[in-house]
Amino acid sequence: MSRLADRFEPGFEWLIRLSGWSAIFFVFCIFIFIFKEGGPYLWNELQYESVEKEYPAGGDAAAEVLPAVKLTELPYEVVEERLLEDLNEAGAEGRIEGFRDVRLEIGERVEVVVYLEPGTDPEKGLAQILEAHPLRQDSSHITEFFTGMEWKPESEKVRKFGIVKLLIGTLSVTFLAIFFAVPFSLGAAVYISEFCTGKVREVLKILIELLAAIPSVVWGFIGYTILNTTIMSVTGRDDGLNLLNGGIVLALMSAPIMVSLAEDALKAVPDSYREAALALGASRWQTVYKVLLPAAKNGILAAVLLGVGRAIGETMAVLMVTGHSLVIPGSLFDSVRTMTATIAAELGEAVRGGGHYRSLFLIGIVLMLITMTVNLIADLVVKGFRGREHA
Amino acid sequence: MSFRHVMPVVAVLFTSLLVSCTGSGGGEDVIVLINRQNSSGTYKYFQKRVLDDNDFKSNTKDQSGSQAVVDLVGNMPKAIGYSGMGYKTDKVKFLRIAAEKGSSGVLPSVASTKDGSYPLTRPLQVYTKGQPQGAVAHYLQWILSAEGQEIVAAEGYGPLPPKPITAPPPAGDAAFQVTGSDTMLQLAQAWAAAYSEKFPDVKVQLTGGGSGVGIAGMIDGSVDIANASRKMKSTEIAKAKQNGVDPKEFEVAKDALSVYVHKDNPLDTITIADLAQIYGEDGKISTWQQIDGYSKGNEDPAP
Amino acid sequence: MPERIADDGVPKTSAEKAGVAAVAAEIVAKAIDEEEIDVPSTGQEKPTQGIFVATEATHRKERTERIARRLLLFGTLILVLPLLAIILNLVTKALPILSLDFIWKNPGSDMVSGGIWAPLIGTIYIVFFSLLIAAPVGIMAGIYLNEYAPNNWFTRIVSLGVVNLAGVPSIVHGLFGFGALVLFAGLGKSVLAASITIAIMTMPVLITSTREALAAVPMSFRQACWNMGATRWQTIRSVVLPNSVSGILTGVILEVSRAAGETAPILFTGAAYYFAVPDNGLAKIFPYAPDEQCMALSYHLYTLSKQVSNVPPELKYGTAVVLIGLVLAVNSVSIAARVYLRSRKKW
Repeated sequence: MSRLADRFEPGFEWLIRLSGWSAIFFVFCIFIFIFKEGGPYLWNELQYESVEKEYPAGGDAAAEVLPAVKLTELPYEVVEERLLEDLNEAGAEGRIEGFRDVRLEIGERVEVVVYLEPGTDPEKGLAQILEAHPLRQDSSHITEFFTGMEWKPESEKVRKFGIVKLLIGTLSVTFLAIFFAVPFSLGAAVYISEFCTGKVREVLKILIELLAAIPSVVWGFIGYTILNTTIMSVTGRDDGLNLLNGGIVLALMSAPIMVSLAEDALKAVPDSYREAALALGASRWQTVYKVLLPAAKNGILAAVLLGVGRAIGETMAVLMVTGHSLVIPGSLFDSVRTMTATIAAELGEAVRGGGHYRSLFLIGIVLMLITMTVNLIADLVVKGFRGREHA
Repeated sequence: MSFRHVMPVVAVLFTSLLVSCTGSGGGEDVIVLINRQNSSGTYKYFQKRVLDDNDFKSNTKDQSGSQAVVDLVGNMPKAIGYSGMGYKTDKVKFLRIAAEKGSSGVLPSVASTKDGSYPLTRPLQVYTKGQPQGAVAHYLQWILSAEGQEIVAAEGYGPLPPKPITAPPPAGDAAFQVTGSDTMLQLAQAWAAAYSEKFPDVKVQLTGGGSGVGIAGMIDGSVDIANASRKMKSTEIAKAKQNGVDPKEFEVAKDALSVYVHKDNPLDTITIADLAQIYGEDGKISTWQQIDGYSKGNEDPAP
Repeated sequence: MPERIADDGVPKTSAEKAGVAAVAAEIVAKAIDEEEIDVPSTGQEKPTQGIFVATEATHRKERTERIARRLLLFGTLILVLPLLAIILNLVTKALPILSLDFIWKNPGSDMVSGGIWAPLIGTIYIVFFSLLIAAPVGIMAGIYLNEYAPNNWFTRIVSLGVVNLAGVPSIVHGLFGFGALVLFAGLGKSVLAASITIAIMTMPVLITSTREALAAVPMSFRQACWNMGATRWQTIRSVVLPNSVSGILTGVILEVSRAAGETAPILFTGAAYYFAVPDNGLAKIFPYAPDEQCMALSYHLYTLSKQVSNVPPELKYGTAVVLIGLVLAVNSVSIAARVYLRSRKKW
């Protein structure tokens, strides 16, 4: 048998190399694709430019009857059904015959041909039309994406893609979750690693691992049914889908990671530290508090950061539980909306290549960058900042 | 950084959180606005018909499903929401819709949808890729036939006069994807279930997500049938044609867009103008007391 | 500093011992300064029955220890008890409907009755296909990165990419699946697109856990093989792989449970709200074709909560319990496998 495996050694090696390279390919593929889909937003403006007038000489057969004025280079989002209807109703001064070359990319343009009644001064006619029915503007420069307070991707008037409220939603829920989870997770990690014995420790560790395995949609379900009614009855309010609910659910979700990683960090502190402290008469708690926690603080910090990363990236649970409302939370009982939930709720309807699609991908990029940064910091922290390492 | 340094910060944060918990004061009852997600045709229809294409207020709670809206309203005495007529539960009640102030308003029902007396009646349509052929054609005609329309009425929507089936029944295996309106989800699922029982070789795959999802799928050409509770805009049809897809529209049922409140809410009737003031971005109504008919309802219990 | 001391934490060389002693002395000095440790000083008038006499400081210390112990236990229980309470709650509410029938029957035609067979088999489909793609590629890529790849900047960037991809939110994987597979590659919403998306989601973790399992095999094992003239592949096949099987297997099983429970990646790539699966016959066990959508247990729970009207509560709770049960069962297998295989390790 082993002879057989050896015979095919070059085959196996080739297979392994192929897998390695295809995995590398996949990894880069994902990053590149997501940046490519969201990228155009970064360097193309969504805003429409001023209207220029041109007076073409000839024209189509349909244009034979009336002189045509070509409105050049309007973004297609501007030409909406309502506008068409309104302009058609404008009647006397002209009508829009339709449009050619509808293209789907942000920043690409569509030609609109306006046919005017014979004898109408093109300039005046056009100006009158535009004055009576101002074209819808998409005001979406990339800086507005990061600073704009309004998220109205499907507005009929002015579409806005500002993610400030979404960012605040994500950050507030994450912060609340960490606030709840860190004390208990650290306590559990310390207890399991230092104060526990044999059987109890095994049982607790298994329980924590099983806690980590529960899928996020189940957590969302738990928050939507059990926690919802609990919050409503405990606080007497009539709405349980809010920041508090999201914070509790996320805390329960990110706690297991923090517990196991912090416990690993505590385990990594060599026994000699413990023995030294014990030899000097310190109690177990004193050992933990004065010796072990400072020694393991890098690992513990990394554990907390990875818990943060998990909380930021959570989708289904927050979608079901936070109430999905575009507000900046003023109290624990306000509903919020996170970035992940926004993508999950709105991706289906985004037409490929459109403004909404691109901005959703851009949110995905922002999420990826945030989690990558958190992971990077955690990595650096575990290795210890050069110069801060003690002995 | 040690415990001693972290504790005061934590204490401050904790107290500020506690303080923030002291919720809104008493007195006026703030209206809790339940909305649909913005991919929903119901959302778009409401926006066009009631808000005149203005934007919604930003503090609405957007739910991803017709049932979720009704569930929330059923749990919250101060909430108001709108959804399809077929999603009513025991914990909510319909509001009568009055076209203008003073009129008594109409309750949504199969009858008032059929004769159009309910002001917020809307058509539910189905879009197919080009002229429907084969299994899709038969399915469509079956929906519009007596059997299909019976199901429409049974599910709580407004049926259309039935049409006979002329297409041949499907021969052999067929599969197609139906996506779109959450409002029509209940109806489409009943159709799919009944149809699959009669013709087990045809596999109907149904997904929701909102009319916007179905229409986007039609534009991309990735779905065979799109359910929509609003009509496709001419720009959307143009985009689809650009991609080589020619959407054909078929009206399959009517629906009454119902406004739901908690069953203990004293309000009975509401005008469309008031709805616009409640939901619209520049709307002036934010508490229940500001609505005409709310206090009256409180003072005089319904006879 | 921990890296310089041998694995069992006992300082061997005198330098290490000196280092530890220095640290310990520093810590103790600080502690004495802050009067946490009581050191009886000479010249103090005290009954000297022994060196270890209980003083006020000792009492304080013991009290703090007791309080701390209780607080920590309390903290741990706060984490663990809600889990048990929630599961108990779910199971009791789901009890009326839980039965073999529930698992074997399809959802009723109105979605508010019947069982969960169609979503269950759909989840099994997705997990199976995604594992089919991800496990071989992931494990072999892990072998490649750990055993074959040269240790240069490119490999380091790749490792970084893999680790970061493992931490990316699942909805971003769904984003990629939707944009690249459903739309760009034209697969449409299908079991295939959903499986590939989940495979891409689980692959980085598989690669990382394989690498860690391989790295845990001591270099001396490999060196012994090389000394005897074995090629790289022979070494891997005969010594390295068999000794890292436990780690790899644990990683695979863990990812199986994750693939079964995730909703966000399949939301836009293949999950269906409703699909009429036949009630009997062979087609009941193999209902979905790769280019068709499928129902999935996790998505089913979501739609039952948000989109179906008048669902009897036990149906929702029953679905949740089956999903949790499935995931916990797979995880328990992983834990058991890990314990068993670790006990069989000869080093």
